[in-house]
Amino acid sequence: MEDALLTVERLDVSFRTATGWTRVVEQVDLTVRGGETVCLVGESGSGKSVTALALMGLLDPGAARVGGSIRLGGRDLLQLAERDWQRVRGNDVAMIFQEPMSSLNPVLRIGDQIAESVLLHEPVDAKAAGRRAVELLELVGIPDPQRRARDYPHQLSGGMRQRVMIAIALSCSPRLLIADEPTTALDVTIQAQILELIGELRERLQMAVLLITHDLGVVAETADRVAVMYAGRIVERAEVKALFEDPQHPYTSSLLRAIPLLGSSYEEPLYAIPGTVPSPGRRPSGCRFAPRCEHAFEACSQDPPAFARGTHLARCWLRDTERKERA
Amino acid sequence: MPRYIAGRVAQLGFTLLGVSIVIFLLVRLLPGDVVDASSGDTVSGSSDGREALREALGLADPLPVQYLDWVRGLATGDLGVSLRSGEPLSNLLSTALPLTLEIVVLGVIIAVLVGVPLGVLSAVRAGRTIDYAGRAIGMIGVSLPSFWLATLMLLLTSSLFGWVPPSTYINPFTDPLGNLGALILPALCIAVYMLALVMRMVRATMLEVLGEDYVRTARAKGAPQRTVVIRHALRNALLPVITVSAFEVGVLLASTALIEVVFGLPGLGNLLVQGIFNRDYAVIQTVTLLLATTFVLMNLLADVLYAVVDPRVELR
Amino acid sequence: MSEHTIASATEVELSGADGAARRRVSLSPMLRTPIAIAGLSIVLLTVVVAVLGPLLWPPDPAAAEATRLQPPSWSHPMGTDELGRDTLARVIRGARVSLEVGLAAVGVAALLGSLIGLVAAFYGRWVDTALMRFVDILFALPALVLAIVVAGLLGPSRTNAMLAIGVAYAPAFARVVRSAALAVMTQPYIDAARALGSSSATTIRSHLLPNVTAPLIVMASTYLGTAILAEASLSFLGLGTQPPDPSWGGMLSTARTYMLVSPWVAIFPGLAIMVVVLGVNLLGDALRDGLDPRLRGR
Repeated sequence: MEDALLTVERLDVSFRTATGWTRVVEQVDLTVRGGETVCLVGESGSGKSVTALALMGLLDPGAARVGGSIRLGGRDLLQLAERDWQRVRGNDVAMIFQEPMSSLNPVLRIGDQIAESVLLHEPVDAKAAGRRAVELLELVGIPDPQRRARDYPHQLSGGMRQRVMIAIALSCSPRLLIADEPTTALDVTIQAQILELIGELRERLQMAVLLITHDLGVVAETADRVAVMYAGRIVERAEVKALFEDPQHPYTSSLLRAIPLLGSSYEEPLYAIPGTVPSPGRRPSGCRFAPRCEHAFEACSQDPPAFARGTHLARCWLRDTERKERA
Repeated sequence: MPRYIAGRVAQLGFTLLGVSIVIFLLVRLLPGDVVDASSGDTVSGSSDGREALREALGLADPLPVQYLDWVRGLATGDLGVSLRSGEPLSNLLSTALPLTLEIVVLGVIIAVLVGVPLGVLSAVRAGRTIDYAGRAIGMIGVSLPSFWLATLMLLLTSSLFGWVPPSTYINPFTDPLGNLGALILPALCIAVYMLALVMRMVRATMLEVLGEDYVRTARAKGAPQRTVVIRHALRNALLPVITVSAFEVGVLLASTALIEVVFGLPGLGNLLVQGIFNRDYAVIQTVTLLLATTFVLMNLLADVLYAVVDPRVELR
Repeated sequence: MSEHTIASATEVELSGADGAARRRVSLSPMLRTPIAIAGLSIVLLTVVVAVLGPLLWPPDPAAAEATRLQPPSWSHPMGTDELGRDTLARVIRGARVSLEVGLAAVGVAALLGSLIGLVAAFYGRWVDTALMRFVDILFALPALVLAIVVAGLLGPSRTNAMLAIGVAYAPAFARVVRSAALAVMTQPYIDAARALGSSSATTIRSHLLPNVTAPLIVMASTYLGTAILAEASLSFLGLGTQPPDPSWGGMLSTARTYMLVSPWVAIFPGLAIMVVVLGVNLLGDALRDGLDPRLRGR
């Protein structure tokens, strides 16, 4: 993995519950190289967002335990003191969230909210930070940025607010942007605009993007590489083309079958994966997907390792070439 | 904003008009008057003498006339005289009103200055020792009778230092330190209840706000804990506290009455209690109306403050 | 006083109007937290002391048989007062007064408040407007001030203090009951009951009232502590229970004259007020958390 910007190895996240610690994210390996877009895909409850929060160090240390390593440009973030991590957040790595409506502070002007981030990380005065905020508003395509900077969040639409969130995230030119379902809460037409904006800015600022989504359509349009998550684990990881053309994990295949295709006839009912994602703590032993998998067989009661074919990884016994030979 | 305030003031006018009628009727319709209360005094020995006295005091007039006389007087600045002592009310009120207002304002300041940080600390350190200490203060503070606290404080200062605060009103402009020395203990006594209440509310709203998405955004920016708590969480957490605490000023005003009795201060509360024992209608109704006015104005102030702090509220 | 002010001011106590009223709530789990247990223990202890009083501590609270102003000793654990009466016996007797007046005052407030609130919600329109205007006006008067004035004008006595406190806190109950009842008024079964010829009184009694009980319980428990404090305040001013009957507020009032010589007379009655009010408040908090989950933690 040459010039990997972010390397996540064996990431474990457990939450404190009434009965003890419950593992929510297990043994996640992930790399993001400089300038590329990696998508993390999965249904809700698969642990995508928790992974993202862990990468930002935003999980409450009293309620969550994080293990493994998160290396950013050679430094293991998990070893950092809180004070050092504050210098990384918003500076080297920035994040935008799913809910633009509630992610901005309602009692502060948006210009001040953007300027705050600049002031936290750069040696500039308030005036310069204010000017930078206006530039950033312009960069994310907000008309009349000078005036808009003095607005409060409730005066903006959802799409506008997400643009403001992006402006905050980009204020210190991060090397990595983590976007957690940035378009889920927005109208369809706005969704495309926001994704386009992220893509455009990624190229312009040469940053890497880790995009978290449940929407394979978004993946197809934006990703260089994809990791599919299910029940706290990454079950398949591949180049975007390989994943769509030759999915190796039955879960990925099911997700692909569940996408409505343009031009498909209405007579055929849309495919839906039977059952639901098991909640953490109720995950089956062995392959987590087995109870919902139409290919499940006896081997699936054992936990499958990741089988690799080149850069294409899948955690499924069907990909065990030795087993096929044995059979 | 000015239009909003004008509207609210007009609305307050109507409310206070209603209050004045309620108080007036309450005072007249319940049995006994100043003449009965001072029976045994020289003039009122015979029933003829009593009637003459009632006549002289205007108590024999029909109720609407009496009411209009009172309100007209208030409107023209003529507050009338104490029916008992004959002293003009404006004389009595010129010390009583500033005295009581000062105690209340000092009390609110103490309550906010101590209650808010305590609530924040309690929320940020939820489940730790300081939180339990804060919650204990919050629980005990709302259960502590302020007049008992005042009694204990007097006991303490007099037995330890042989000192009790002076029971006269010291002009804050000519002798600010003397004024503060006289009023700080009473203010502290009435502050405890509100302090506890503010602490409890701030703790609760703070816990709620700390879970908000925008607080997570602030953390994601790399803001240090201090900034996150004070700049992002606290301002939002204080919003509901403003309105509720303004309402609790009512409790403060009432406990001021008790505290003034304990410290022997000639404030509105003391005046009211004296007026009640003397059945001095003029004193009772005017002082009660003043207390209601103060209360209502404090609430208006809180609403304006709320609108200033929260940009989402548009005052129209 | 705007609608907005009052709504948000009373919200903390009330709410529960719509949701909470419908759920059948089991009281036992909510009484299992340490805070609730502490509250319950204090309240139960107070009730036992108030009821069994003389059986637990035989000296007569009215008999002046000992030396005056004795400091605490084995025979007089809280000392004696200015007339040589046993302070412990008087504090115990005072517990009964406090509970009686507190409960009765809350009862009066709940009764008056429910009446106003239910009638306003049920008849709506001008009846509602008129009643709520009146309630607004009363809200402009700080409740304890109103209680002081009413108690003073009715004449100082225990019954009058109880009535005065009840009247003073009735507006708060009226608001809560009205909003709880309004939430029910929109339900189809109210129209159904009326369509079936059920009388107004019957509809109010069998449909509205059951739905406002949960908020009423929450209100009553919140205001019990306040009412006990109010009784002590009135008695302290000489407007409540009259001597020689012992009441905690009254005892503190007389104590002020003698406290420099014998501080204990000023300590024990106040301590009693604080502990009982604390217990009632703790229990009230637990009840409120249980009956109205939205207020949890407040």
